[in-house]
Amino acid sequence: MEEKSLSMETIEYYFQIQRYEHTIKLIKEAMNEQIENGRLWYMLGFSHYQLNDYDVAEEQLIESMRLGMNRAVVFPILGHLYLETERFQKAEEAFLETLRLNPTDVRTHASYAFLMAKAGQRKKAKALIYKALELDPEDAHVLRYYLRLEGLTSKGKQQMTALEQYMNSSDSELAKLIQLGVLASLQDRVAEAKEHFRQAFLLNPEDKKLLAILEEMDIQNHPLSAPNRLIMKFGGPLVFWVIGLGVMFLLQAVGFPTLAAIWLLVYMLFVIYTWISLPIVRLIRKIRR
Amino acid sequence: MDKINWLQQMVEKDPNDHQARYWLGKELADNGRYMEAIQSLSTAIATCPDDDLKMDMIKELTKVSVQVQQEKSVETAEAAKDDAEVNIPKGPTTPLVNELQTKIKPMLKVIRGNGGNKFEQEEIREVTFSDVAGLDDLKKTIHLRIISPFFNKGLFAKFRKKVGGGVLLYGPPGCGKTFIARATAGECNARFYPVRITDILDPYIGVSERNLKEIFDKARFQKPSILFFDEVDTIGFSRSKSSSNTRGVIDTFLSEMEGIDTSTDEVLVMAATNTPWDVDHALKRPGRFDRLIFVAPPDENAREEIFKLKLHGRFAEEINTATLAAQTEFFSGADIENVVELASENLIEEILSTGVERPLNNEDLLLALQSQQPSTLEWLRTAKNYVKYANQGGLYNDVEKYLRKHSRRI
Amino acid sequence: MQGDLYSPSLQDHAVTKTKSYNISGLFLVAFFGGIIGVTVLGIRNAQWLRLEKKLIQLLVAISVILFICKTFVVYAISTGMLNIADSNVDNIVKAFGVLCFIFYYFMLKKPFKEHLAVGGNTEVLYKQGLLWVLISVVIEVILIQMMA
Repeated sequence: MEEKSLSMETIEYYFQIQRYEHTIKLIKEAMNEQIENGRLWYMLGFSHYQLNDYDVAEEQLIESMRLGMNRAVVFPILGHLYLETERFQKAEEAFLETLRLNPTDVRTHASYAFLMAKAGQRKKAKALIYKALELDPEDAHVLRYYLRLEGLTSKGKQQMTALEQYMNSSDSELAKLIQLGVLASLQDRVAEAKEHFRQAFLLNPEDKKLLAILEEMDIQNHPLSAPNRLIMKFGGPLVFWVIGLGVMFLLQAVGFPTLAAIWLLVYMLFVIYTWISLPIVRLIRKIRR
Repeated sequence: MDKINWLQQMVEKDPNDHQARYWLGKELADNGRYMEAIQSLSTAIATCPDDDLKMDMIKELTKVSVQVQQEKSVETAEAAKDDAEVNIPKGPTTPLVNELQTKIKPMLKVIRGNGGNKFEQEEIREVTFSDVAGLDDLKKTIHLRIISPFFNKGLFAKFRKKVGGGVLLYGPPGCGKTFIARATAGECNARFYPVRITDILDPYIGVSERNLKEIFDKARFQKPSILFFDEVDTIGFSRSKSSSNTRGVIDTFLSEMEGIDTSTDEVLVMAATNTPWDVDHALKRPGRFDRLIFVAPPDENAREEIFKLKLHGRFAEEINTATLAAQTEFFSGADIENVVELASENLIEEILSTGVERPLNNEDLLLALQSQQPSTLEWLRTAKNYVKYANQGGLYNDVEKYLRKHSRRI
Repeated sequence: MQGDLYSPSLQDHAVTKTKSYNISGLFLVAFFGGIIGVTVLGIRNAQWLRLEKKLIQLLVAISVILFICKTFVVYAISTGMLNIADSNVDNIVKAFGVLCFIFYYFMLKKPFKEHLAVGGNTEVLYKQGLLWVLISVVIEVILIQMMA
């Protein structure tokens, strides 16, 4: 009996420290004797979900419920699984079922809000995330989604408050660095975003998504991409177009048509270059590799 | 004595009288003539057709062998005690001490904590660097950074330098980190205590922390010793990656590490991990695991040796291990073992289907090699990216050096 | 709203995630193609971002008004009702296109940011943009010819 619980403890520990591949290995060993253990099936399904093996994870999570695992624990994971696989209707069903079983589950409120935002139901998303905040204003998961849904698109004080609240939450350092990177990236603060993602990557160098983001940022920071960065410094393509064409019209209006034509030519060449610069950098990097 | 003579005459008269040989062996053992008893029993076992009698003989032989060993160890310990009292000069380690250290098996009693059956393994001087194939650079580094400080405490004391801090071996899986640690213990003539997370974990609150503390206490008590934490990333998992609560074990680990003074405790803490980035930052600060040593995939010489080792005792032709070693860059020891296993499996399959038995040859191994990829590559690629983006204080200099040398092929 | 929070919202039809072009890119369509191009792609973008029907109707109404205004101004210039040189017609057509874009840009800006905030990508605009620039130019030329 003691051996059995110790073995469960080891599995739980590996599960807790997010060693999902090893957890799966241990569970499969333990399954020989405990095939009817719902908790094991749940951990197995969750681990496969974390490793993006969604089909297998779905089956195992459903099996865990059949074997008596708490449905209010399993349904939110299923909801996230359906969200990841873009089965939005099933995701909604799973989240609503969780909320029916546990109406005060704040994290599911936040996850459901995220689903609504992804599906373009902005009003409902907003209502849900505020409801979650009302239920628990300090929950790390809720504050993370609040920052994503409201903080990133709001301005000034509201954004600062959302950010401050989230940074003071108990979320992991890794998650915080990623959120800061996303925030900086959405606000076109490329260098800052890269620094956050770099630090996040150092905490989890096996994360292929983070590596892809960093590599993309390297391309944007390449010397050949300097014109693209210049456009961003001017306030983005829109402002740059307005400035360029405004100068051309101005030159025409004040009686310098030849100069206007030369300006237009140079300007167009510059803009065309910014369209092809990033593919050129990618090609160079590929050849060098 | 008469009985022995009478039995000896019987055996001489009829060398196939196994029962007489058995009795003779027993009688000789009873009279303390163990070597003769062993000889008599061994000859009887080799020729005896009766299985039951054979079993009795084996039992008797085992009994005699144990008695021989016990008597020898008592003699050696007594001799060592006498020698130590009389001959060993004080001061730096002398060849005589070294010789003695290799002769004497410590007779210290193993004290068990409340952890019960956990953490039972302890080994002494089973392997040394001479058992580690190749990896000369690594051995040199370990000598310089681990073994020398361990033996030159006087020098360190002169400069008021604390000989503390642990050593973290890191590198791709299957490249012999544990074996290297074991060999280091052998080189230091120290007890080797391997610890895994399963030796520590306990479902009851606070017991895991207590288990960990007991392991350190035990190592301190039985000095000199090397405490080796395998997969240390599981015990000292980075708290930055997770918001879950694994603090207790890590905190205990940190405080125990802080409390170790190698010069007085004569305990060296070593650890191994495949994922050094997953080890909590606090564990890599000075005074903890501040010496990071990269254990690279085996070099060509090492691979050749591993091939020889894995092929030893198999029904095989003369194998050109040099060619195989040259073609297995980045292969770990485990990968090489897989190649040999796969080649053997394929050959057995062929023999079973054709009925023609033949030895394993070069072609079989080369064929098996084609379907095997080095398992270290993924790790090396991750490390390459890690080093690329980690512009921090030279913690991973040696892996960087290795990657720079091999980067084109990774 | 409280009741609605816990009743399904995605069960009536097959719901997919929001999509969007990089809305700054619509400027090029507006500048080179004019009102028609930016309206078609802008409305498509608004639907992808699941803007409310009322807002989409408002955008269509803005486009129609701007198109009528532009047609009237072009007609007035070509018939001499407005004392502006004919060579400026092209610029005026562009100006109306850019004005239309500005309306769309500000209506789509927030939903677009929200789309990015939940991990949304941007769709490639090159092909569709070029296509609608060409279609717009052809329609505008035909209209101007008809008026002339």
